[in-house]
Amino acid sequence: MEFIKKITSGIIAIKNGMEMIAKHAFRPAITVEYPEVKDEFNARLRGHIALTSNEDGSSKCIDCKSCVRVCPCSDLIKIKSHKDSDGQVIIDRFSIDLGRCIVCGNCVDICPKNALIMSNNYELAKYNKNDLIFEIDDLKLSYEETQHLLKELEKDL
Amino acid sequence: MIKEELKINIGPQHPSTHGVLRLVADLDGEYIKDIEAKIGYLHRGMEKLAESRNYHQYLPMVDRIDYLSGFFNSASFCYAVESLAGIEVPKRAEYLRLITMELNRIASHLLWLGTFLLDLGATSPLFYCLREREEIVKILENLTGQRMMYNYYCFGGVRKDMPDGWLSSVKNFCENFPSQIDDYEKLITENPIFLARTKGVGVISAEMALDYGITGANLRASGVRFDARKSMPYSVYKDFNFDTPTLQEGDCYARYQVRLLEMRESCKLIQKAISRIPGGASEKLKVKRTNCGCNKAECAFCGDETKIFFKKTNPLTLKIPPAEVTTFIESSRGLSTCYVRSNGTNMPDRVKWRTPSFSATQILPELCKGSLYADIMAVLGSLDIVLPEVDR
Amino acid sequence: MYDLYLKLFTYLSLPKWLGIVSWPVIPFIGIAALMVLMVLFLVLLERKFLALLTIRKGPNRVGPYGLFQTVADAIKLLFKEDIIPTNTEKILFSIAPVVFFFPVMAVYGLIPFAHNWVAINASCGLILMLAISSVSILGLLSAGWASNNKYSILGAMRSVAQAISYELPLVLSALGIVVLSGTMNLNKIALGQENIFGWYIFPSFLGFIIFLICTLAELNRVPFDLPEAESELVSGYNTEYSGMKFALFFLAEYAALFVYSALIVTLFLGGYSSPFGGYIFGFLPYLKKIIFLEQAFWLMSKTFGIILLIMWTRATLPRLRADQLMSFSWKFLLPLSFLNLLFVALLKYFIG
Repeated sequence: MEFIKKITSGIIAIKNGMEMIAKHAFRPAITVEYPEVKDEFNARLRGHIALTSNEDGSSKCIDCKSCVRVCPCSDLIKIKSHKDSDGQVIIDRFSIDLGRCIVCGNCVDICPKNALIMSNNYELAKYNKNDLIFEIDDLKLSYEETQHLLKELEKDL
Repeated sequence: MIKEELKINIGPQHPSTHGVLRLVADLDGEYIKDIEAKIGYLHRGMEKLAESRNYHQYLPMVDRIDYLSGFFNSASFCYAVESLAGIEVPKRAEYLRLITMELNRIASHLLWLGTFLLDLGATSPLFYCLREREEIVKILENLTGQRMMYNYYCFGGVRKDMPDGWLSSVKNFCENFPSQIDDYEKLITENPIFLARTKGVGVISAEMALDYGITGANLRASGVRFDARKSMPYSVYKDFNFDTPTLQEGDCYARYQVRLLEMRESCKLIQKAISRIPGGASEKLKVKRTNCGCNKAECAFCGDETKIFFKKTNPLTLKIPPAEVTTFIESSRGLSTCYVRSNGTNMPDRVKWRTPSFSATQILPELCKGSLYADIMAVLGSLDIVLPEVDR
Repeated sequence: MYDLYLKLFTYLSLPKWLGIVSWPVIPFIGIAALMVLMVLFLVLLERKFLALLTIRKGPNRVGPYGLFQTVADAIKLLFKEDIIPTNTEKILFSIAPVVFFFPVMAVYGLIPFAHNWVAINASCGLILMLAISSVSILGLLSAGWASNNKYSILGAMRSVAQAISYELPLVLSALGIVVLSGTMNLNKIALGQENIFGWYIFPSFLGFIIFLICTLAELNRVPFDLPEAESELVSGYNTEYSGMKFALFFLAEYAALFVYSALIVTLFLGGYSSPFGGYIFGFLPYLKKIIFLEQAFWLMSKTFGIILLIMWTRATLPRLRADQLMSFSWKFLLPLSFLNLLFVALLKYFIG
């Protein structure tokens, strides 16, 4: 008797399982056909690091080296600057090795002048590892993009 | 007659050893005579890295010790440093920490379920579990900005408050989730092939589990009711009344059932926490703050309870006097502890991690001796071992 | 049809004896073409159907709806390097895929596609089919042995044990059909099932279930696919094969899937006869000449129904362990198939 009960419960369980799988055939597919269709992201997405810029195109960095001191990877950010006649800081060289960056966001959080910001771009594939060392021209965003990103972040906080 | 013995290498690259684990098995036909686990293929020197970095530099690296449950490792390090330095955490931040930790627990268990069934041969539940996990990961991405290495906790609280509409999205998820678990149960729990594969296989008795130091769902399936959230409560777990499911058999089937019940409990816990979070949803809080504007400490809208950190710590000046502390956190795989020793500077002297998967790997030879070759996969899958935790 | 064919030869001003000699070869060419097309289509169907059941889309980049995916896969396999491991018997290694593939191809000639459209009209077609398809196990065993690899030997031994133990219930269930219909000729078995109430699935339902389960075991499919379990043995007996040899193993499996499904349909579900009794084409006089098209349509649609059922099982069930597999066959299926035979014989004796 128990034998027959076991068999019938086994058959019913298999039938239930196959029904549940068949129900899934009528749901829409969840595939996102990249690269024709891309997912939407919100303002907090941590893409690669970028430099903000003022209205005249210069960056807000004052070379305090806080970002270097808080970055987990030791010599990722290299900054060189000099002071001109008014005492303003002019940046000579600002390079980040984006191939080794772990996108943690420590530098963005600690910058006192909001000179660093996380952009929304995550498609950074290159053929050569050395091409990923971004200099100041590649890193700087235009003024409009800066305002756009900052506004989205303001809405967010 | 020559006795044939095969030495098989279930190598580091294998579709179902959950990482880079190497098992050397002595086979006699189909029966296993001995099995040995060789680890170390994913060793990254996590504890050594802490000796040359200050606390703020080390915090983003802590997520990567077990990348499937990143919030738990981050939480144990944050609690350790906060108790050493005497930093207080406001209530809203604690509630946010609890919600994110429980969401992470559900996500980790879902991935475990998918890969466990894939090892046993059923290929479709993996996709259903990953679809659920995708929803959780999207919710966490809206909050923190990343899908896996969150870097969301900071010393003293969390980095940012939740965005608009986040709390209602979590509520929607928690309402839909129990019916999805019912679907998985319909597919698997009474299936005769699954029962034949997992019932009575890999039995861990309570004494054996306590000898080897196994914690988490593996221990609770053998009859010992131990949960760090109840015995050594941290965060705001004291204020909640939740259940810890315990079963007596100790085989693979019991471990599977315990984890499914844990997922349901986490879902209920998140719903309770959402209803009780101080300040409520962030869009209402902002409006009420601007209307109230009193800035008193006891106010329900602008007061101390609704902040997300009291004071931001400075990485250059956070110097902790010499002391040592150990914190205990119930991560999704078991009890995970973090030992931090400070020496007066802004760099830790020694950080030591004790991870639950390391103890679970040690019990594998004893469970597999004398059983069949196909049982290794069932046992390995049900113990929920992830290699980054084992090798650190 | 024969006169039309000969008229074609005189129209093209070719000698007449060429037509007489080449007429018997045409069915075999047709079957070979059908086999290649079927295999190409089934590989894609499996991927698309499994994707549909798991809320994904299958391949859809190569050609419209991914129709040329298998062609691309076959071309890739052709261009791969042909690796032969050292320290083995090279002849055995190279012959094994051929021995595995040819019996499957030979059996295609025994299936009746329409009335009297059988390439080989053997009077004991059923037993011939089961006997020839079990020759391919030799290819499997030699593939595992000649690979000089521990995983391959394990996989091959498991597979041989499984195939042999599941042949017995298979043959006994087929014997039930022989009792019911009184002949072993596949054409006559299909003719004997006129409409849906005459299908042999109703008297021997237990035999149908047993035959279906044993087919899954013969084809090394889930839940009996321990020999080629990806997560346990890294592909079993065909671990060491690459290039066209691997393609032969792969294609032979799908070819066997079609043949076994067509056999199930012929034995239990009425073969090429329609469920309504008469044929739809039979009502109009000028369509009676091409009634074979409708018969082939019925056969194909029923075969694809069974194939989809087999793929649906693949998506649902986990795998059985080796000793559970053997005890399931010897202790459970074999007594049940004897019971089925007894039941069918008694039914035929009393009701006739």
